Amino acid sequence: MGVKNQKTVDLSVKIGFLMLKNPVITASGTFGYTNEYDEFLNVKNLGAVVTKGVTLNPKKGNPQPRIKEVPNGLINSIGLENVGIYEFIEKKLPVLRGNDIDFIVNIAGESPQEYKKLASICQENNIDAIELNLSCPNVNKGCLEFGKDEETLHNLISTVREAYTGTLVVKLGSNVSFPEKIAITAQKAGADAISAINTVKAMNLSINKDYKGFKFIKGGLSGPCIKPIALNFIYEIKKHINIPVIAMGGITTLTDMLEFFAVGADAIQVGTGTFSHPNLCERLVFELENFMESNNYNNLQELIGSLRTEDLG
Amino acid sequence: MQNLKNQNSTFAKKGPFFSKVFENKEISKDIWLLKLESREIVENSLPGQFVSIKCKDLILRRPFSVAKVYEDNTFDLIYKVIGEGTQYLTELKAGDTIDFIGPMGNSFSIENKNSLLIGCGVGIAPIVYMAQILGSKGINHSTIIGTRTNIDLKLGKNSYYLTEDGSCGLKGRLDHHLEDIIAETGAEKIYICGPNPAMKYATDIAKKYGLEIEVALEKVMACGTGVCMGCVIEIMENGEHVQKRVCRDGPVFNGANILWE
Repeated sequence: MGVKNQKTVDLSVKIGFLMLKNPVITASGTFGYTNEYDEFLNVKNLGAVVTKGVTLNPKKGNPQPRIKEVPNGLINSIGLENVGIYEFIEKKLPVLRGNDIDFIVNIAGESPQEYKKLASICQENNIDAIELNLSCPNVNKGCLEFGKDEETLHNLISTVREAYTGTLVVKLGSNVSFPEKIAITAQKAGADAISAINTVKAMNLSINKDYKGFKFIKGGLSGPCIKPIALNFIYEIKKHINIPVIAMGGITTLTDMLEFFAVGADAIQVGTGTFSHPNLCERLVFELENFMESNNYNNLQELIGSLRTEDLG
Repeated sequence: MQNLKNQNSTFAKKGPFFSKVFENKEISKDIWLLKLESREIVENSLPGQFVSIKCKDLILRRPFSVAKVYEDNTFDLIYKVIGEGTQYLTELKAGDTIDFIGPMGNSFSIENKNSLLIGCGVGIAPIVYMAQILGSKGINHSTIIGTRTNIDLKLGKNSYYLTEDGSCGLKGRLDHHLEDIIAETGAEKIYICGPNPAMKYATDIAKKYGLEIEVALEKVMACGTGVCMGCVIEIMENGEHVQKRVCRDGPVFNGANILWE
């Protein structure tokens, strides 16, 4: 490889009002609030950081057990343990701002009014982008139920839109019958981008050998085992909407990332993969840049949507 | 690209690091010693801190406490074979490469007190490391190593080996001998790592004799870095219930604050 003095490829991508330097974003709940991964990578090299999901009041989360590894995946039942929006604004936001990076604040509410309140607090604090968590499978109230039917989703997004003028990303889950209808609704209601998929509802049982006792966990499944579900979800929704799509679900390699670009993703998020390799996001940026240089791609747009409906016959 | 990479090197303070396996051998029934090399771990780790190893294709890294460090930049881990991750470790041969991050978590506090160090089964590693550090600082200490059967592990003077089958040292478990050993050593402070029942018992005894106690906990972890909230436990602090991450706020806690199940 020759010495390169300047970048020859353009990795930038536009998500709403955000102009990200590259399409690799950390997924909510896997990267902390701010600088937790500074000992493993330079966060400035990433496209953007999505914060841990923040609720109006601090949340203690679910009892143990909260995690269980399964083949090629991870079930979690954290239950949105977080410091709440007020402590976030006071303590975490200044650190986040000090990093000089693009960031997206993930918010989760128990009612449309609570989402609106959270969004207006973000508006007041000049937060450039928020991601609505409408798909967390691990809390009793809110989240998932709002992302399921079209009317509820439309009302919720419209309500948030009234209070928030920044970039509004809506995070959807795959636990729905008609992904495309949900995505169209999100776009109509005012979403600037869609991120998907959240974890998939799942359960694990560990039954004793004598069949008499067992341990179990119900929660959200993530990791490489959900990649086929995520790929299909992105493929299905992309055909019907024209706002950017941020894809996630089991991405751990450059190839994974390219597959999501092929079905139309504009950017990607890495979640569980960070637990396996804490510097994975940064590595993917370098690998993508190398790949594009060596294969004569000039900009990211040339990679996106290479797999079209007609290709599937 | 080149610039980005150089810039990055100052950020990877805790890895991932790659080391050759120098030695990997069973030192007691299902308890193994793994020797690796890392200047960063040798220079920066403290007793109680752990490294997280990428085990084959498993999604989650597995945490292991540092057990001893050497001047030639090698260090030991001591692990008990429990599940898939540790089974994989037993298959490693000298010369194989291993991927780890660390040192992670907090550490035992080092005080100039007559200390009793207790490592049982899965919890031997941080206790052996604590003995090394207290020894190097000339702090008076005694060590108890409790296993099911004989263990090939050399410790300094004032060491007690407890084996359940009596094949080495004193026969029996910690609860059979702890009070006698406290009387014999005149310990002022206890440091323990091991199964929860053993740590709970030691905490009760510490309370009975008015001794301070620090415990190093074990919990299944997902990230091991403090972001995922998977290993959170509830403890008492200043009379209030508070939530702590075992991986980042721990693994070492004041034993008196733990709400034992």
